[in-house]
This record gives sequence, C-alpha cells and structure tokens, in this order.
Amino acid sequence: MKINRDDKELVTLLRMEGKIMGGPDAEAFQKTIKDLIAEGRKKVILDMSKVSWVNSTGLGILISGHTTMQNNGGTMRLVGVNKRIDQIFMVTKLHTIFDSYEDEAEALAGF
Amino acid sequence: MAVTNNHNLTIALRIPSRLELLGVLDKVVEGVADQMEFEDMDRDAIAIAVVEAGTNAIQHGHYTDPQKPVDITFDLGADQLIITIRDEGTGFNPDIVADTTPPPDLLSTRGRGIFIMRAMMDDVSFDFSDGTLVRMVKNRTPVEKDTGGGTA
Repeated sequence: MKINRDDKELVTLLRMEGKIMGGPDAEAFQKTIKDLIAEGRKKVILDMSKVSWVNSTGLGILISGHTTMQNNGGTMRLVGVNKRIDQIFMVTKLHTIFDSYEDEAEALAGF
Repeated sequence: MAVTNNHNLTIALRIPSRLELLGVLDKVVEGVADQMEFEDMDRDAIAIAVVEAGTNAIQHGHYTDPQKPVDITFDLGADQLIITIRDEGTGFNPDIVADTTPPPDLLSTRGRGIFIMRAMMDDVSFDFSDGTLVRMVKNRTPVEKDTGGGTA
C-alpha cells in the first residue's frame, strides 16, 4: 500500500494505492493519521480509487484511522470506493460508519 | 470463448506465508471464476472469501513464517466451485467467531475474517484433524439463456 499526502488548505487528501491488507500498512497509515492530528489537520479525505481490495486486517486499519480521527475531533471521508470494497462494507455494516462519497469534489463540498 | 466442460477440473496452488502473495492468489481466483463464468458480484465474493481465508492461514496459522506453505485447491464442478485452504496451524473454535456488526463491536479492529467468509460463500466448513483446513463452496447461479425465439 502506498500513501500519497496532498494538503489542500484545511483539508488533507490521502491518496491510497494498492491493497490494504495489514503488515506494515497498519503502522504506516496510523503514523500518517497521528502526524496529521499533531499538525492540527483534522479534515481528511481518503482517496480509495486506486485501492483494488481490502481484507479484514485492512478494514481494521481503516477503522483505526476513523476512530483516531474522531477521538481527536477530526473527520475522515472516503472517496472512490470500488464495488468489491463496497461489498465488504455492506456485509460488515461498516458503510454505516464510513462517510463515503463518489468523488473528491463531492467529499470536499461542505467539509 | 467459454469453456463448456469444467467437470472434475482441479487446480492446486502452494504459496509461502507472505501477505503480499495474496495478490497472486486473488488473480488465480479471478481466472477460475472467469473460467466458470461467475457473475461479477459472485466473482468478487469468492475473491474476498479466499483472500480472507488466505489471510487467516498466513497470519494466524503460520504467523507469517514464509517457510510454511499454504496449500490451496480449486475444484471446478458443473454447478459449484469448491475451494480448500490448508495451513499447519492448530485451528480455532469456529463456533465462537463473533458477529461484529452489532453497534458495540462495529468499531472493533479485529475478528471479521470468518464472518466475511461465511457471508460471501454458500457454505464454509472447517477440519482441524491435520492442521487447519477451510472448505468453501460457491454455487453457480444458472445464467438464463436468450433462446432468441420468443412466443409464437
């Protein structure tokens, strides 16, 4: 998994790429989230359009990021979730906690 | 071009316990599902389940020890796909696998693997007599064919 950070005024875009499946991914993502909080950047958009799939360990990584942000007064929005990942979100009911948007413009609106 | 007869076709695969190789496994699943002409949603469901079973084998069965192989077989039947995934782990009690969808557990960062596998496949069973063997079945929904005739 690759994470490309792109700061845009008050919102930070994290462009994810590859597969989110645990191992070193968890540490890298959690560090990125903690760095953002330390810098006071608490509006995050996770661009998932280049993520092919997520396993249950990867779900844990996303949940951890969401919870860390929320506990520190921040918000994490998702964009570009593909059908396969959406299928997992629906089955696990995680679609009820992740704010998911079609594209970046929609996620930025009102953020 | 579709292959019309997949009966008794078995594909076997052995991978070292490295998480990054789940991507290889995923590609094999995609090929097998295409061969059997599964619908897109079912193909994704199979891939999700196999990746979960592979994740469990590598992470929990072998603690990501690359020296320990995970064995996978695909049995392509006329109407169903049977997949087995074997590791050398000591297993677990599948009856106490949690459902993490109720609100108190929804934000749990662990414990969804078996739940997801069961949700994606038609049948999931376990055998712990020789390591851990997961057996998963996906039935192929018959595709309605357009006969092109219509009613007289």
